[in-house]
Amino acid sequence: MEQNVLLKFENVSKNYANGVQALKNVTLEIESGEFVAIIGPSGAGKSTVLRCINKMIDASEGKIFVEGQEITRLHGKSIREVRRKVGMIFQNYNLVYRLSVMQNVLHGRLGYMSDFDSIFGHYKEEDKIRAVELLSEIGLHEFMYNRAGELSGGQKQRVGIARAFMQNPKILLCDEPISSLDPSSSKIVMDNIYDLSQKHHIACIVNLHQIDVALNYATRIIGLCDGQVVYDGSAEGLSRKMIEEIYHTSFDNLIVGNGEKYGT
Amino acid sequence: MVHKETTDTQKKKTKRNPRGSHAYEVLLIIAAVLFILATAYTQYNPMDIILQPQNFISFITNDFFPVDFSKVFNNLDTIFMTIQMAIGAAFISAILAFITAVFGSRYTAPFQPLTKIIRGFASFLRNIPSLVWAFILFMSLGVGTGVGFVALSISTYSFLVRSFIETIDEVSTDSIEALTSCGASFWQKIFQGVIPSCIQGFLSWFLYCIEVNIRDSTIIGMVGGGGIGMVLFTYIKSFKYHSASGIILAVALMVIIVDVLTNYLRKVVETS
Amino acid sequence: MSEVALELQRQYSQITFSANGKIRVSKPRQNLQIKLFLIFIAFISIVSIYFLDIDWAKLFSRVPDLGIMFVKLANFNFKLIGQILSDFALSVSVTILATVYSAVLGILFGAFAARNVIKSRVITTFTRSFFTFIRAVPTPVWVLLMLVCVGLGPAPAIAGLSVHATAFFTRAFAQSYEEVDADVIEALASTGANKVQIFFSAILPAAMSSIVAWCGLRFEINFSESAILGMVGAGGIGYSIMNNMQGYDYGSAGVAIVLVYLFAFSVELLFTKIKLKYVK
Repeated sequence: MEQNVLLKFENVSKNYANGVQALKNVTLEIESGEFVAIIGPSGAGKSTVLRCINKMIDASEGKIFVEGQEITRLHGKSIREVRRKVGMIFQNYNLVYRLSVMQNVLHGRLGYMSDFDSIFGHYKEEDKIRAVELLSEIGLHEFMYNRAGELSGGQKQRVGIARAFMQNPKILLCDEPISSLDPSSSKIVMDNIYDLSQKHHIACIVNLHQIDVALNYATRIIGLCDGQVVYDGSAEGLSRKMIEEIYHTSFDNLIVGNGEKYGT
Repeated sequence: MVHKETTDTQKKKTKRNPRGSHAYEVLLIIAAVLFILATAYTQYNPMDIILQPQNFISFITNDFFPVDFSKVFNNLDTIFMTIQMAIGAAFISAILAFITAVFGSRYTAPFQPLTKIIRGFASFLRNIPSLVWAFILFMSLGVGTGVGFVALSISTYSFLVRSFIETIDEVSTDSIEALTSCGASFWQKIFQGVIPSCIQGFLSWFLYCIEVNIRDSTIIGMVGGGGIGMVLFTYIKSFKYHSASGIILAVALMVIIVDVLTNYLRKVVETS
Repeated sequence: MSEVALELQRQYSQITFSANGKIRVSKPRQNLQIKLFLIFIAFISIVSIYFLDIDWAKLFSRVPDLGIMFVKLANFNFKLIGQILSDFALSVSVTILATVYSAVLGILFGAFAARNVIKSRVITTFTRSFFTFIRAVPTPVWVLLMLVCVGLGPAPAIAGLSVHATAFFTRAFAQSYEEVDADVIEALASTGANKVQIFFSAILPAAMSSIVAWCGLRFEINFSESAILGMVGAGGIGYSIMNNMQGYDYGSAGVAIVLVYLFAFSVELLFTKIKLKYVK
């Protein structure tokens, strides 16, 4: 395997007990530093792909390699060690609203800490300093002691981003990070994700509904339809026809932003 | 039942789905059928009581009044005992229920099969009425305050396990998901995720249980658990209605005070 | 404070430090209210338990007796099944009748307690207070009183249960009525409908789903109480349990208890399924 292949899916399938096949034979490779957007209709398997990477969902068949390590058969403590390498941000931010912004960001270090220290919130000083610096990088250090619940949607998501980066992850997974945000917050959040991941040379995989956003930020697009990879290539190569194939419907039935951008 | 009032099932109105109107009609028919069957079986005619209230009225005027308040003051210590039992049982049950609930919610449990076992166990405890538990315990462990306390705790515990699991499922799923993805361990998830987000809900349920327990404690007292219930039961069974009326009023007052207090405290908790 | 700390404070004015020079992760006052509250509760509870003077050692030493009791109860004796079933049917009937009567009365009285149905604050407050008092008296007490007035049989159980349940429904339904959108009421009022018409055409239908939910909830509670009532002398499955246990026929009592459990469990399961299906 090449040195900088960070993530590898080999014929990965996911079947559910009720007969639903969320993923069918997915094979792909992601290298460090890439910024990949996954697009596709609802139910195509975008969330499933992401969650297989940090084993929030277990694949039924196939193999998944994270940094060369095969993760499909892992149990217990080793799963934790994989998860702390993989940061994730969520559509609903998934913060603990009663705790302060700083405490939420520091949650990113829990994978590296002992139970005893975590229970009493005894974080290391250097972790706290790093948290402050991260918050400052995304412009939220003024709110460090505010309760997370007091922030706006876009701000909450950025706290989530800071939390993910506290993990010093190798990969960042973003599950529809801007679906709940207004256009202005969306831009700030996507900019934060892009800038931070490029700065720290972290591979980034983002699930998006908004094709124009995907094209704006990603160099590589993966199109998923019905659990299968229908398109895996550059952003430029994404043509109208490709989009229609991914979404299984005519281009006129889609809202994709500035239509002239897409070639035929 | 303030907390139950705010769960989604009560607050959201049924959407006007095409089956909506039929559902009510079906329900009405079922209720009517059951009603007829039950009336036939019990030969119950409420008109007997309503149209002949002489018994009732003479009872109220002759036996109930005048109220003998002195008995109330004699029994202040038993009244306190009832309150102590209510609070103490709620407290112990809440702690035990919390520990059980984190293993019983499918979002926090380290082993999934455990959740079914725990829920089944709590359901078993809960669907057997508190007085039945009290009776079983009295027959095996003897009568007394301690046994009554345990009986009260069992019914409170089983109720709280379900309520706490409900709270965890409603409130913390998102944050638990995030903590799991960070690589947090079970205890980390509990202390940094579940407790901060659920503590308000837990306290609210706890206060509600105190309110319920005051009544349950009185009832359990009637069957032998000590406290004001036993006093009341004795007075009624020995025809000392003047004394009984005083106790009844005292009990009602106690319940109302505790109700008001706990509702106030719940509002404080919910807005903090 | 260390060099690094001083540097940080210069850079980020928001940072505060704890007594021993460590960076704080949250405001000191944050969650103070809840923490104090928890300590207060713990204190009161522990004091309460202490002053109950319970002999814990003796209590725990007798736990094996409880185990023996369970074994005896599990030794099912079906000889008296006929009697048990008829007692059970009685309890179920009591539950049904009490729920129906008190629901109907509750719909009526709830209207008098709802502030958006009755304009007079005096009436609503009086109704609420009256039924609060009734609710404050535990059901078995009501049933005992009914036993004295009415005599034996299922009637006192049904009446007593109804009294308490009516008070419960009054408050619950009043709340359901008050939750109805004011716009709906306004719209109908503007068409010239009078109070009664508004109530039956607008408020009641809108509150119906809430009312049905309350009924379902109370039905479960009523059954539980109805089972208990037997133990204070009103007949029903509770009496069956008590009688058999006092007569040392644990096998029969065990059958009765399991019957109670199965019914309560099935009802709970049924209602949960209905809730999931119809209330999104």
